[in-house]
Amino acid sequence: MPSCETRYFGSISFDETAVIAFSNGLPGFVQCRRFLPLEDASRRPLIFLQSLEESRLCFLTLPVGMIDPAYRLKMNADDLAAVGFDRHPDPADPPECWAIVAVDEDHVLTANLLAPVVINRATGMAVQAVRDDSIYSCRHPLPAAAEVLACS
Amino acid sequence: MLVIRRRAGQCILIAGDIEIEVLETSSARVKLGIRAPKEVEVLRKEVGLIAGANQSAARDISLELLSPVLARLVDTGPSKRQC
Repeated sequence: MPSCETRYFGSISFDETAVIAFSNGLPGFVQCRRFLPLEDASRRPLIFLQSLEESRLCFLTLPVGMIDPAYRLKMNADDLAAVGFDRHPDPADPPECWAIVAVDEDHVLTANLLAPVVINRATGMAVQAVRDDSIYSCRHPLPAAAEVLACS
Repeated sequence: MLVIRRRAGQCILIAGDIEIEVLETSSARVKLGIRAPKEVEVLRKEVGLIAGANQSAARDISLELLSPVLARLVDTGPSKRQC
């Protein structure tokens, strides 16, 4: 079983079939193409997207449906081809779709709903599907921290 | 902003070696062809924006800061969250 260095979990062994591949990398990280999704029982529903090329690079992601249950995926033809979908996924049965989490200057946690990572498990291919509309923000605030304050 | 009117098949030239050709037009879209030296990066603007967002997401994020967010998502689900 191959092993790799990770940002959050030290050195781990992994199953090659779990690896997802971005044929063109991710915007800003075009050289990083192979990622290993990792979960930690105590951090659910977080998915750690660990780069296999760059051990220090690990995106933190959340399933978009956990952030916005009404989220409607929209992919362009190039992105559909990149993951091997022959047509746009049925909104009633969306593929795995994760939003990358970031922290803004005010320490507010945000999620990128403008460009979710979409995975086709059948091919093992993934793409960061940048929407061409502006319905969703790339810095959608995750409400919990503010609400905790508001509720106390 | 410089505004130039072009038809399908016509080009504009930037800095002598970047050529942008209007390939097709329709009521809602324009298809462009771009010829540029290899070292010139050409991106859809929204992809450029996402590159910046990814760079910032790749920086350190405290898992402790995230914990209350995760707890909320798991306990109540986003649709049921309330005070």
